[in-house]
Amino acid sequence: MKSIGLAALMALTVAAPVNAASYDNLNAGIQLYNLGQWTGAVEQFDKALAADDLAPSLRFIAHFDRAQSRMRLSQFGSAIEDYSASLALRPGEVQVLTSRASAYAATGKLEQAAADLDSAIAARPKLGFIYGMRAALNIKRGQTEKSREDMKTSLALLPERDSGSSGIGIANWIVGQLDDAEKNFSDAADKKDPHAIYAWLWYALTEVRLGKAVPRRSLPDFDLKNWPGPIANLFLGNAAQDTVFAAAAQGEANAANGQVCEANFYVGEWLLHHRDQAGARSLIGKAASDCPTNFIEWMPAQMDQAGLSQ
Amino acid sequence: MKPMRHIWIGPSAALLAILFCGEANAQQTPDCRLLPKAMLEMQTMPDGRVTIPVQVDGHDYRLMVDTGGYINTLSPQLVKEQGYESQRSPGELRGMGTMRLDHYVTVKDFAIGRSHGKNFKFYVDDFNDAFEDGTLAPQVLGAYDVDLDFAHGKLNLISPDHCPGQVTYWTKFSATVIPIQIQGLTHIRIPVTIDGKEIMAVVDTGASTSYITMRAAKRYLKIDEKDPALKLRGNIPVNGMVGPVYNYPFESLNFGDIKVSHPRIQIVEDKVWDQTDLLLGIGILRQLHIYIAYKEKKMYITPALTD
Repeated sequence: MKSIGLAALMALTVAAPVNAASYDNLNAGIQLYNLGQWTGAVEQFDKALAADDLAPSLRFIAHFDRAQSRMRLSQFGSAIEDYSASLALRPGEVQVLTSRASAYAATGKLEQAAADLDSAIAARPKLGFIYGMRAALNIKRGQTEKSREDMKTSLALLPERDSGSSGIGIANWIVGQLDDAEKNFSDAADKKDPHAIYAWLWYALTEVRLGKAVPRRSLPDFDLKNWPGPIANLFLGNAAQDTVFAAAAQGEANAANGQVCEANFYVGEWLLHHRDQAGARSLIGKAASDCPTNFIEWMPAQMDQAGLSQ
Repeated sequence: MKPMRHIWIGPSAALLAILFCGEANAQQTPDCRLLPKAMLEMQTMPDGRVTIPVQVDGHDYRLMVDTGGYINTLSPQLVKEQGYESQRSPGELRGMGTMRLDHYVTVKDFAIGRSHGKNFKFYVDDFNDAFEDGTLAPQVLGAYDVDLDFAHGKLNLISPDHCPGQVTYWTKFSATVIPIQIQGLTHIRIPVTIDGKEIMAVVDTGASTSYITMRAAKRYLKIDEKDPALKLRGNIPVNGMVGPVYNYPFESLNFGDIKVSHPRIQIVEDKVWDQTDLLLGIGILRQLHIYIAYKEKKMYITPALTD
């Protein structure tokens, strides 16, 4: 490299001068964003962007962080505007495309969401998580087979991590890779984790689907009087369906709704593998319509409902 | 910053300087000008940390600049994308949180700007972030002077062979010059003052937040758990350990004569860091223009924006 004076080079490359106040507002916004103080963060980003003198890379992040903050505040329309402003500064940025896709999906604009995910995949075709997002979106679009294909691609592209992940197990379950799912759930159930009981429920369902016995040995250390203990008791032959649904309805309204969703799904799956198609169809149908989309049961419920209605 | 267990960090910064810079130039320029080796566009991540563009076997990626890291890392996603076969390392480190770093990959051609390194080793970490494909630690950074111009989104890697002290090209005023200690081969420790009391701090661009241990808060600042100004944020994981994290209304943090008002520094349990009292993360560092002269063992600081 030539011996060129840095100051001279900098004079050529430095952008227009930044207003100290804008930059301070940006930093304050980022710190509030990190603390989860979304409203305060938005106010600071508003001020940072108002002077229109930040370097492009800083404007990018001000728009992106403001979009993320607005998402947390359920201001989806203005979040989409900010994501779009970020993309204007850095087209093809995968994280922004996938985030805007989520915002579009949240407002029911499924085709715009799909277009963003397609663009993200075009930009980084080997990023597995984008296919996972598109798999979920395709279910909402009523395209279950495309969804299954995307889920398969996602599994093939995701890095090999700790095999004890229930999320990976559910993906394997959805695409029919039950031997892999069995290992995922078995490992996850062995973890000292408050959610290990859910991994065990999935492990039990997988074993039943594979024609094996319910795995009593690996039941996590969990007080089965607490939710979702009644479902585990059903699987172990220690409780009846009615007991499960009675327990699910207990508690504060939001919690009870979640529990009922889970009861519908797990009992429905249980019936499905115990040759009660009619009972399974009814309960899985309820789970598919009532479970919140952020529940792990949502996607398998959609898939199985589609399969049962064919 | 990540605490060490059994260290195996491969070549030292000095060796990497020879391996990496290629065009080794041990002589200062006759007229004391700085010799830039790479002038890079920084990108700011959502939490304020920054990445720089690199090439990994000819493919474009972004590595987070981590002055508090021990070793360079790549994400498992990048490793998968590039089809690298990871190998078990002779020792192990702990990465962010509780992740053990015990596998590495070898990159045949690693490039920053026009500088290339051959057969470069990177540990495989366990993070998943589409804005960041890995981290760049002082293992590489320490071979250069590192010029961090956060306000203009620029990072310059500069030859360390220059006239002593003549580095502050960006300001007509004098910069604050702070002596640095290099701890554990890589970490930068500097003296700072919090609310009038001097404390040694680790400079960590890889941390989004700044922390002080309760041990140091008691010892230097006479703050304890019963202090009414202390506000519990909750039990939050820091450095892989879940425990109480407190906010405290610190008045000022001084780097020599440069003052950061009302710095956001959170107080954590002693067990989070054994050997560190105070960790300065990117939230504070972004408010400065920082020039780290590893070889000279000095840091030159001005406010981020200065004439």
